[in-house]
Amino acid sequence: MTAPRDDATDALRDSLARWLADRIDLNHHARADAPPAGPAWAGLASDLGLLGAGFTEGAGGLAADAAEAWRNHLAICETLGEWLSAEPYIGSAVVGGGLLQRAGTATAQAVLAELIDGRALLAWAHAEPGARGDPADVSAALLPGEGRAEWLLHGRKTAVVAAPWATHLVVSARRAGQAGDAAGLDLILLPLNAAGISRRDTRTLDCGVASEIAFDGVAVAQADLLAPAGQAGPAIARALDEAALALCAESLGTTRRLFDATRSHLRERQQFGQPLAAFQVLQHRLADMHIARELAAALVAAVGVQIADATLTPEARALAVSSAKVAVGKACQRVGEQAVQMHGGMGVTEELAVGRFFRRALQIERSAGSSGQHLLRIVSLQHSSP
Amino acid sequence: MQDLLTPEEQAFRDEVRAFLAEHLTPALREAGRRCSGIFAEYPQGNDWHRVLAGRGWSVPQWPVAFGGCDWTPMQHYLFAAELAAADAPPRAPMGPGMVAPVLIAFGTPAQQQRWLPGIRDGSDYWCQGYSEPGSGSDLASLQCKARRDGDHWVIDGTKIWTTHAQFANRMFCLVRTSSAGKPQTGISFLCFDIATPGITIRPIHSLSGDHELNQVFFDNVRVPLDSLIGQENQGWTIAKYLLQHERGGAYSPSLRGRWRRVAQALDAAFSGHRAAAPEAQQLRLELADLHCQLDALQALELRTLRAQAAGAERGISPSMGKLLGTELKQALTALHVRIAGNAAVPHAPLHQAGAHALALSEDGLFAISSYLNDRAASIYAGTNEVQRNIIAAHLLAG
Ligand SMILES: Cc1cc2nc3c(=O)[nH]c(=O)nc-3n(C[C@H](O)[C@H](O)[C@H](O)COP(=O)(O)OP(=O)(O)OC[C@H]3O[C@@H](n4cnc5c(N)ncnc54)[C@H](O)[C@@H]3O)c2cc1C
Repeated sequence: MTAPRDDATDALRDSLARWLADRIDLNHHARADAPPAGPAWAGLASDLGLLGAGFTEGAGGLAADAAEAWRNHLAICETLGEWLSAEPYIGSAVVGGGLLQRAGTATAQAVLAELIDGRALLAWAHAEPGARGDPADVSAALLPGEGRAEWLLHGRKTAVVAAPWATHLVVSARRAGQAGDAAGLDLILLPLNAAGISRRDTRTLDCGVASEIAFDGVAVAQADLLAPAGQAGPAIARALDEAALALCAESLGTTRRLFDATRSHLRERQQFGQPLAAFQVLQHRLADMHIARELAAALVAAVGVQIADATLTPEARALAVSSAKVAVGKACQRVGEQAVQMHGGMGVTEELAVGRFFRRALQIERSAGSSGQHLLRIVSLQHSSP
Repeated sequence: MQDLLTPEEQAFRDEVRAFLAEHLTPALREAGRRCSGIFAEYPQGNDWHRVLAGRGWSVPQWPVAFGGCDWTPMQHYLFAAELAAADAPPRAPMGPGMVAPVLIAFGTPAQQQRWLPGIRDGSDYWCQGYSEPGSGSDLASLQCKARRDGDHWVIDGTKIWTTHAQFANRMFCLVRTSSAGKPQTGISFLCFDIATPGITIRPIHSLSGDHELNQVFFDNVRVPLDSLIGQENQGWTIAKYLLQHERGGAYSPSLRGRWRRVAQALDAAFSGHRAAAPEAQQLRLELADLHCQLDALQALELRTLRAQAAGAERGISPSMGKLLGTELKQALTALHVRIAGNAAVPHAPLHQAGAHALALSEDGLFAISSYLNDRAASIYAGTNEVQRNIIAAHLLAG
């Protein structure tokens, strides 16, 4: 079940890790409410030439084929997860880049080229307050406009990760029907500074940034659409699946750190005249943490191969991704909570990186559909298939 | 539960309710609702403590001779349940529930006279100096030392995880006064003023971004000889007595209040959401399961209370209660976060939720903040692993 090894991908992973190690001090005591450092996004392109790694040559990227592109995407995400990096790779490159690549319009091609050379940064504005993970749960509305503003966008999006750093937003909206209908959806590319957009920036659980965003009559033209008018449903579903899988890869880096830190702590911390590692109940916890991670890692690698397969049906993709997300959710919860518990008082503070990795793991568990939502999706897919 | 109350108990409950309706101000209730940590910040918690003191209800668990109430275990239980249900700010137990029982059991009349009235009326606020960086679960290994010098004790060393030390004016502390014999035999219990020269406090920020914890440093700190409670080197016995009180309270009254809050959040999150009905159903089943667990915990707590009133030993019941209560609380807060969905991703102070045209969900911020704070519940007051060790040792002894 392990992913095929690939020297190019390993080299990419190593150079990214070295680059991050030079910039990120994991022992730095970050306060949960301290302002986050901005991203070093452009450097990913200019220093490492890495932003093209997840795109095929045909789309202006570096990968020979879709399989290599996905191997690279997942390796990058895993490494970013390992360094608690706030780089908005998933929203910008995996989701935004994937949608641009498939849209194929002139605008999309131009922005994708800017993305690959580090000038453009996209944020994925899909979820709405109160929406519960259903991809069609979109209320933001496109109303008829006039002139260049063929439509006017009204609505509200929530927890849009990295929006304050972005140049563009990719926004889902509907031109027909009501929240929950799969038909009538659009995908729109907008500059962040378009008239009629207002934002509230907040810190996120994992020490990143996100925004609440309101659209109040934002002008939208035909050229801004990233999918055929009213038919963006499948593109949105695919973007969400790909985001979920990328998050799964990120979690492997995050939970590895939590696991390693806990193992070292058990070896080093002395209580009752012996290392914590001498207590069997803690040994068993460590074993369970490892097993949860190994299961998740194997499944994520396997689904990473499947997702690049052009013949994969949306249903098969959904089942595979949901399965990986559930395994990862378990690993995030188990590894994260146990890492904190076994660190004792130190674990619940900002003094160690463990707490920040734990919050990141929690956010991963909650993003792109929680474990519970993915389980329910599996149930509904299994019941609808013959 | 209601139907099980005797007419006297019902009358008592109504009296408490009437008092709360009149004296628990909207501001205090709001502070109670926004408290996602272990207990309310000092100003709100203490305001409420003083209101209760005015009615003679600030320290009902104390003996009547010291200003407590002559209540039955059931009355104590009802009182706690009504406070929780009304969103009263949870008060810090270090003074009323931890050091006070020690002073009553081991203090001299002069010490009792000096410290108990200030705890009762809210003019003193205490913090607990037990843990050290190298001594957590293994408390007996503590190193912070005190030596006699004339008519003073001189303290050197450090304490950590000292909750609310930044608000406290008094501290009770375990110190090493002898290194001879077993580690347990050389420990003493001291009470003193935080304002004593040589004490410094370093804040420690927790996962949720809150400041509740501190590290306290002692550099040649001189406190009077009568700071010592009980005998020199008898501190371990006192420490264990105190821990029984720290762990011994009933959890189900406040959990019942929290359960209702999570149930309301669930209704609100899914109202008008047909597409998400299966998720709502899944969450409701889990909430119902927690309800059953809560009923069982409550039954166990009430049975224990009645047995204690009849003179039974506490035994392992504080450990069982601590385990069950904290793990149920963690399950409730974890469920609350799942109910909050996306609303739990932003990280901002609760009072800022609505302070913008693009409001955040205050419930979502509360859910994640209390989940993060509650990770500590299985660590403080003796970790849950240690409680399981205590229970197992008791069951396997002899
Ligand atoms: C929010 C909070 C508030 C606190 N407030 C105070 C306060 O006001 N005053 C004060 O003095 N202290 C306070 N504490 C400290 C608390 O009592 C200690 O954190 C606790 O005793 C654990 O010690 P430790 O953190 O050193 O963990 P450690 O003892 O290092 O334990 C680390 C892990 O190892 C496990 N472990 C240790 N020994 C064993 C064993 N024999 N068998 C199995 N597992 C074991 C533990 O359960 C834990 O999971 C507070 C702690 C927290 C988190």
